[in-house]
Amino acid sequence: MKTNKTLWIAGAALSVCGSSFAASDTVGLTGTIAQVVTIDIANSSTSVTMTNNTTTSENMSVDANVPFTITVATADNELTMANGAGDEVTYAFSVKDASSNEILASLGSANHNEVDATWTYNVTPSGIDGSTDAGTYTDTVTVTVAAQ
Amino acid sequence: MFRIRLFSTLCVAILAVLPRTYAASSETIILQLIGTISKSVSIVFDSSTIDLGDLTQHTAVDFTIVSNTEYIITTPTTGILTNEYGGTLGFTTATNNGKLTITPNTIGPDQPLGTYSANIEVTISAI
Repeated sequence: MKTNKTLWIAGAALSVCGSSFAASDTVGLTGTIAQVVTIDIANSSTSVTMTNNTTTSENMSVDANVPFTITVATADNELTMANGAGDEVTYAFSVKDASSNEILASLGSANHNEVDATWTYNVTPSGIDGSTDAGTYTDTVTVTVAAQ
Repeated sequence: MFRIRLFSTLCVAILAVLPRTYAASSETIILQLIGTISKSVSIVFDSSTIDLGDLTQHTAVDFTIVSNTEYIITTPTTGILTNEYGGTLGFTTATNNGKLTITPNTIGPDQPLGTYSANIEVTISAI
């Protein structure tokens, strides 16, 4: 009885090996590149030269594979730097591309197409005179890039 | 078999979700701007020469101080005017409200004639 069962399995194997037909199938390939908008700076702290109309520039890398909006704002929405005593120095802030074209002339927002570039942000104090109090002035600027 | 199919289904679902979950469609950076203004002081007299006239009265000259910090102003309280022949006449000084006042000492009958002159150095120092 056991011998008969073994022969049946062997016969099936021979049947497959002896076939000559071909088979095919198609598989579709899909992939998705997600929206990527990033901004990167080497140093989060910028030492500003406190001389009138002298611009301090720092690089920032911007990568975006979709149109995006860049927004720059200060903590108090004022173009000022203040020390602990409340003294203030006005400054201008801009963002420029490698060719010095202005991406953003001041605080606010601007739209831009896809990009993979190194831009600069620029800080230019003004209104400093001999009576502007000595000391350290600081301000916080928030830069946001967001896909449109 | 059921476990394998379930695992495969979960893997496909995770792969489908991952790109959207980790895609950076926006990013924000915070910049800290720091600048330092050093201490500075300056003093400028409105005139480089004070004409003391006949040396019988006090004479004042204005000066302007520009400072971005506390300062000390130092002026010699006394000085000596000298004429072209070596004759001398003392004087005193005072500073008040942006003025430097020169007061010659009283001229006696034996005071030599001549044109008297002196220099006064006023120093302003940041504290």
